[in-house]
Amino acid sequence: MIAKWIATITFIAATTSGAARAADIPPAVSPGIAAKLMVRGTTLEGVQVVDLRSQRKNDVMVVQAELMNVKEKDVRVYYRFRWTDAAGMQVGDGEVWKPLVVLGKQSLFIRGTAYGPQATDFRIEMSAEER
Amino acid sequence: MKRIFVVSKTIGTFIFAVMILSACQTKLSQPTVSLARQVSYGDSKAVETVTNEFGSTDLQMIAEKMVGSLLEDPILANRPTLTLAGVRNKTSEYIDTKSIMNTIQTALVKSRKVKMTRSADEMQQGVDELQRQNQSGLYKAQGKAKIGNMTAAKYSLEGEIVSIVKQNATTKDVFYKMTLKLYDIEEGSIEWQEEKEIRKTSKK
Repeated sequence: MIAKWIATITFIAATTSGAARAADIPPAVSPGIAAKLMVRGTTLEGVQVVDLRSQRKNDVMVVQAELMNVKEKDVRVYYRFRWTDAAGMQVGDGEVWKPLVVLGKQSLFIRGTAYGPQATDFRIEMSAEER
Repeated sequence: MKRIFVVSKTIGTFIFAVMILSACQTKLSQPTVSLARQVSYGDSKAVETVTNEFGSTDLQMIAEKMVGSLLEDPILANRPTLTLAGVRNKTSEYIDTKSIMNTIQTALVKSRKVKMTRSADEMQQGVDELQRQNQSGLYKAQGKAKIGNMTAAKYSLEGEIVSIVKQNATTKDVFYKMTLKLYDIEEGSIEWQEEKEIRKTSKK
């Protein structure tokens, strides 16, 4: 009987503590940001893109995204920007994958600059693994 | 009983033959010359972590950072002329710095935001061709490239790469820093400068 009570209390504590599993954390905080991401798999192991903005500098598109590791475990994120022109054709040869370690509860900016004025749209390709 | 045995033997042989034939169908050859699959092509943009020496990912990340920073800068607003000067390698490794600069030049040229002129390394070939067209007597005047019409570069890209290596019994840490500067050739002033830092740590 006591064992049953302990099990029940443990279950309730685990489900109500707010410690969401990495698999339950979506890679973006809003559908608008999610539309600009190409995530390999369904999650980024607890990392979320919490802010995304772009502007043209010197007639070249510049994008900045803010990543937040919601979990306490460190995560290694791989990312690259994909640039397309007005017709949806790829601009440039494709960027190199860039590795980035996001420590637990850390927030980081990533930034990309298009290859030239012909780029008018972008997507961020992302992949993640536990460090 | 004997007849049942013969029938089952025939069916068994038939199934065996079908299995062999189907196995043969799945083993189509691929358009390669290699028999053993000891070599395979990979993604040239993938993150390479074979060793912690300077590698393809480092080269590509440095070039991307430098090109991005330069393209954003208003110094390129009027499509200026640039030339490549050398990049000093101050690391303990052999690094083909010309290759880094070529990757940067390729991206800059493709952006159409700058005009690149011949670097000092590439000048002799240009001079040879001009002399061939003008002094060999082989070419008609129309369409001949004239001597004295080269466009001089307003800016030159120069830089250096350094490394700091620290290691103990179990860990090796390498820190690379590439610095690139854009000099106004006439004035000698630095008009743009950028750095890219890379840290690589490996366990022994």
